[in-house]
Formats: sequence, structure tokens, C-alpha cells
Amino acid sequence: MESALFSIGLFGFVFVCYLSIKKDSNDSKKDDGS
Amino acid sequence: MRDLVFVAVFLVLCFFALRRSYVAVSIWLWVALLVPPHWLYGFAAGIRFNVIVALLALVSYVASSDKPKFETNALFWVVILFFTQTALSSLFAVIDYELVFSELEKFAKIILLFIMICLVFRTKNQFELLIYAVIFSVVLFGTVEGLKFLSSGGGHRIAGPNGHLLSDNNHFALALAMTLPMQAYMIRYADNRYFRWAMVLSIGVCILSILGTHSRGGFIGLSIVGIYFWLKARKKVLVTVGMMFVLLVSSVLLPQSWFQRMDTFEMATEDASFSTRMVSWKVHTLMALERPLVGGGFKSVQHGYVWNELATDFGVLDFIPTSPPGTKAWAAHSNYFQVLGDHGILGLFLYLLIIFFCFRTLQSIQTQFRKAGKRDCWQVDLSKMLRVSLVAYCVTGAAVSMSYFELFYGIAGLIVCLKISADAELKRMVSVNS
Repeated sequence: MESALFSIGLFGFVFVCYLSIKKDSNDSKKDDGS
Repeated sequence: MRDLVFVAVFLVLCFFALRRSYVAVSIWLWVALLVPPHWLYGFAAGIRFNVIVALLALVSYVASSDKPKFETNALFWVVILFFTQTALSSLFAVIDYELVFSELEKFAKIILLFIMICLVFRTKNQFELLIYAVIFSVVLFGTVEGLKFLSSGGGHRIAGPNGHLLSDNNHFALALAMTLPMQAYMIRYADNRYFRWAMVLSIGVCILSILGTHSRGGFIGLSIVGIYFWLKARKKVLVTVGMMFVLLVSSVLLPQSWFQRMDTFEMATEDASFSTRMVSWKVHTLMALERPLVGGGFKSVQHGYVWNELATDFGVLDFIPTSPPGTKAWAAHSNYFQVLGDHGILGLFLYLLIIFFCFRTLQSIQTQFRKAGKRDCWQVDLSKMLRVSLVAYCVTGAAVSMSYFELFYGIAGLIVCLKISADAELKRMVSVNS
């Protein structure tokens, strides 16, 4: 159970980092456009 | 296998870190709070992930083409002043320089992380990633331990990750109590609804974890956070039902010894643990009275010969009745007395000034938005949540030695940035309206 939750935590953090970068890129494009 | 997975994930994170400096700083905080050596057993256990990610954060920041403008406020400078004071007290320490400087080095890394947070974070998206870093480290560990507690029918005794400040059950309970408001913030603001539900569940499991540490200080922290949420909750019935459910599960799982331990609140002055704390607080005060400007240096009072020398003046504080000091040296068991003994009265003054400016800055953010007619926005909600985290830290911190805890300085950094971001947002609102 510990290993499974640890893996979920690791991949979860990678996922939120990825989404955050994507969102940041979109926000930057929006700022450039305005 | 776990080592391989972690290293693979870390490499992906390094790639992300090089793309955005705020991601690098978030990973830095994540590694600091996750404590990889606790989870890993093989070849990766000896790798210094925090050093790697700290270097990446610096490189990423220096190489970044769109650095935010360097802005600071009073809170930033008070933290820097406090660090300078700790460096000075290390120079004039009463114990071996090697011991003091190893502690100063650890604290310097925390301050470097604080500075990097202040330099980089400006937007909601960035703040939220920093909160996720806390959730995927401290909360992850709390959830794992809470589930072990559940599956063992309350038999599992919870403590934090080995090899870290949080390995102590009281420290870990405080850290978890500090994360509850952050989880509550993400329930409202996370984009993904599955994640929002995961946060609801993790709050319940973390509450069980706090109770499972058998920490009385943690219980106080939990009560403070609980009362705050109940008072501020819009859906009071739902929150009450949720709380009742967690309390019901807890009452079934918690052993008799837990209730006996909590009962000792009423007779705290007769309790051996409290008595030791009082003695330790007195000896730390004696150090500050002897060296008010610099104190004894990091953890100096915890050395037997320093303790015994100070204990000869124990009678000076006889007007506070306690048991005799004994010959065994103890940790301060209080943030405030820890700083008082380590860095003197001046150090404590600066530490209290940090706390004061944290609350003052958060209050000013809320007031500014209220005056602008914008009560319901993420900046106000985040400032309220950070305030609850700080209240839990300050109250519970009176009985634990966590004055150099990464999360506290991380929150202080977040407050510095939130104020800068809020000021910019309010300026924008004014210019749009005029």
C-alpha cells in the first residue's frame, strides 16, 4: 500500500507540474496577445 | 524498484525545473519536505536531491528571460535580518564552531529557498504549485500514515519521516495541522474535481493522522484549525456532519491511552513532560539573560556542559516554581525559548517580528481588497488560509522546537509574494476603473 501511494504521489506531483507549466504558457500567450 | 521509479520521476522534474524557475523552486520545497531518504532504500537513498534541485533552481532563475521585477517588503527584510542575527550568534557561539556552523548551513539553505520564493512567485498558478508541493510531500506522508493507522485499527503509532525535523511525532502533528488550511484552499480552487474530492478525503485522513501521533500540541493545533473552519464555513451543517464523522471514527480507533494522555491537559503543571519543558525554558532564558544580544548559538543549551553551567544560576528564576534542573540537557521544546536560548533576546525580538509582519501583511491584503469591494477572490481566501496555518504554528509552536522549519519560511515567502501580487492586482483594478 505504501509503495502504491508513494507512486501516486510522485506521478501526481509530476502531473501538477506539467499542468502548471502548460497553464503558465497559456497565460503568457494571453498576456502577449493583449 | 522504488529507487528507480523515484530517480526516473526526478529526472522528469529536473527537465520541468529547467523550463520554469518557479517549478524548480516548488520542486525544491517538495524535496525538502518529502525527505527522499526516508522512502528510498537502495542506491538513490544517498543522492542529495535537494542540492541538485537547488542548483537547478538557481540556474533556471539566472537563465530565465522573464524574471519578475525584484520587489520586497518589510517581511522580507526582517527574515534577512533574523538570518544575519543567527549568523552573528554562530560567530560568537559558546560551543564548538563545527556544530554551530552545520546548523547555520542548514538554516542558510532554508533562507535561500525563502529568497528564491520571494524572487520568483507572482501569479495564482505559481502559488498553487507551491501549495501542491506541500500537499504531495507532507500531506502524502500524513495520508499514508493515516491509512496505516486506519488499517491497523488504531494500533499504528504515527511519526514523521526519519532523518528530518518531522520525525518527532509532535513536530509532524504540527506540520499536518498547518497543511489543513492549504488543503481546504485547494478544495475550492483546484481545477480538477477528482483532485478536489481527493483533498476532502485527505483532510479526513490527515485529521486521523494528527490524532494518531498522540501529540497533545498537535491536538491543540487541530482544534484551532477545526474551530476556525467551523466558524467561517458557509455550509455549517455539512462541515458539522463531516467533523462528527471523523470524530466518530477517531473515537472508535483511538486507544484508551490516547484519552488518558489528553486528560493530562487539566493537570499540566503536575505532568512530567510539562515540568521538563518548564525547566528547559528557564535554562534557555538564563542563556539569553547572560548573552542577550547573541545567545549561545544553535542548539548550544542542549550540550551538557553548557546546561550545567547555566544551571548554577537556576535560582535567579526561582519566582517561577519548577523542579531542579538536573544534569541532563534538554531541547527547548518551544519555538520561542529555542530562539531565545540560541540567538538571545535580540534574536527572539526579530523572530517575533517575522510572525508579526506575517499577520500584518495578510491582514493588509484582506483590508485592501475589502476596500476595493472585492471580498470574494483567491488572494483573500489564500491569505485567510495562510493565517490559519500560522495561528496553528504559533500556538502549537509554543510547545515544540520548530523555529527553523522549512514550511514556516516557505509560508513567509508566499506571504511576501502574495502582497506584491495583490498590490499589482489592485493597481491594475484602479487603472481599469479610472
